[in-house]
Amino acid sequence: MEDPVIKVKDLKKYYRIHQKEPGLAGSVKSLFSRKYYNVEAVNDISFEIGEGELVGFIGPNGAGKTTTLKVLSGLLYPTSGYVRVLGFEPFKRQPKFQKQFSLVMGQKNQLWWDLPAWESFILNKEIYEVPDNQFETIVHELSEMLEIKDILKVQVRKLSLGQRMKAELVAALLHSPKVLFLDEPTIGLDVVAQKKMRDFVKEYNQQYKATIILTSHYMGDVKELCKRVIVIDKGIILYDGLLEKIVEKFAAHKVIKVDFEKPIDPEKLKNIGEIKENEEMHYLIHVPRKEAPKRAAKLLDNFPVVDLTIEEPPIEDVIRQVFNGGKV
Amino acid sequence: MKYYLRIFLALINTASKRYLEYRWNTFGNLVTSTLSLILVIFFVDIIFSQTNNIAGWTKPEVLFFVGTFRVFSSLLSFLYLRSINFIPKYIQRGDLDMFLVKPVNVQFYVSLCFTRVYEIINLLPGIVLIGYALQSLGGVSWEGWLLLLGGVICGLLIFYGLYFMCATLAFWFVQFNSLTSIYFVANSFLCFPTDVFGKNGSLVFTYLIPLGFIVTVPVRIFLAKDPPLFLILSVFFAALSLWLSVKFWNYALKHYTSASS
Repeated sequence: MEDPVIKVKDLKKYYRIHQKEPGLAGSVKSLFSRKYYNVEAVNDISFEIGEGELVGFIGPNGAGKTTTLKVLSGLLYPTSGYVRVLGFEPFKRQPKFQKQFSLVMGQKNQLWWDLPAWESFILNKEIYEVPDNQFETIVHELSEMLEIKDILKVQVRKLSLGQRMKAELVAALLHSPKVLFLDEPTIGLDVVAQKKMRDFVKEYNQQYKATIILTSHYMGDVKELCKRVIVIDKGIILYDGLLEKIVEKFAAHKVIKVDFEKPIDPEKLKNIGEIKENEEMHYLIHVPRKEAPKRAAKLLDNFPVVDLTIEEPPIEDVIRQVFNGGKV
Repeated sequence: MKYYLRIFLALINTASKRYLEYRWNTFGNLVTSTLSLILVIFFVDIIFSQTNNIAGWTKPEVLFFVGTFRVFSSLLSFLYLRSINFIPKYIQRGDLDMFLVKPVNVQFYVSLCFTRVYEIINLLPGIVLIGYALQSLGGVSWEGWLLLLGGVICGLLIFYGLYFMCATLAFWFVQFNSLTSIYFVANSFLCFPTDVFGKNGSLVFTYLIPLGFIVTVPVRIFLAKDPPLFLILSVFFAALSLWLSVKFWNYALKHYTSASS
């Protein structure tokens, strides 16, 4: 195998934060003496990402996703560990490295607020030294893909959030980065805009062979885009692998959906499994994963079943449970 | 070098376009700056109706000084004042991240991204005043003008370094709204020759905090109150101030952990 584009080994990033007692007295006190404590934003994580991969980073707020992306972008100096992106040490912030990646944060903008996006593009063109003809082609292609051709000459502050995000993406992609970090790119967008954004990321990944890390707390983004996910919480990687396998690993149960011919007394179903939904003739029953076929057979044998399916639990549920620390 | 010149021009370009979106401001600015200049001239007039010499400066000399100071301050507003005023905001909101990932010298970029081209118009009142003062002062050689120009350029660099270092403090303060007050205080020191602070004061503000080298010394050289060799000191202070600002900025960046999103 070739060298991975991104290689992280035993990465730790601790923040030093001071504590403040509540109230005015506490505030005054904290002016003079402060108690510091370490926040372990990222605590010993390792992973590798190969060329052209589109990997989803999922985790709740404060899990360490953004911190990791910031370390990979060279914005934060790691407390310890080994980090290489395209063979560079990101925190040295060498222009040669910076010309090959891009960071897009849903909550921060790089476009000039009171100018049309076009002007910001031109500025980026100078900064990244993009040749004229290449610039024209890329802006044309990307704005076509994102359908924002006609708003490039409108002041950014007059754009909707969705339009602005799209323009942000174009600005970030002008120099055709090999590596792209997308931090919550769909935050605050409506369903239609989210969908557009996803389609674009997918297309971009395929067309330009860019290596992409995407963080999001919308499972929809990840489900649709990423084959591989890295689940992170409290600074630790809980799972790194194929998205579809995550259910197998974490979900201890399967879901039996069953329709009966006539109403059934729920009491009688208690020994089949845990009843999650009950609409007289339609039931949703959680059963232990390994027992699923047996329990289904039992149902078929003892009840007037019209229809029965065994399903995996929804991925959203599984991940939510993982974050809550419990088994599913 | 050529790269940075191109970026500087691109920044001026975007900044002026941004400005034209609010073009009425330009006229407002010219009016206020002219009015405030007229006020200063009245002030100088009143003082010199009582005496004809303050700390060794005659009335036309003071007027020439005021004119030069105006030229200096409009150049500073044109080049970097507004950009530097924005720095604490970038730090507080974590926007600095967006600059730090770019393949460009960040200090250069944040110092010049908000140039104000229209400030060039404000050179006008200053130049008019200089011309007026010169009528009483008599002719000057072109070497004199060259020295003055060199001195003012050094002054711009000295002030840049000092003010930029103040702005860099925002990395530790996070909330730093008093930066502009620092500018106004510095401004009120700069708008009169340092000689008015007496001998000791003048020494302090010339050598300890090199504010005197920003406008006073260049004008003193021009008026032959100081030997031309003083310009070498100007250059030295400019280089020192610039160097320190770079060192301090890089040191601060190392400590920057960025506001988390």
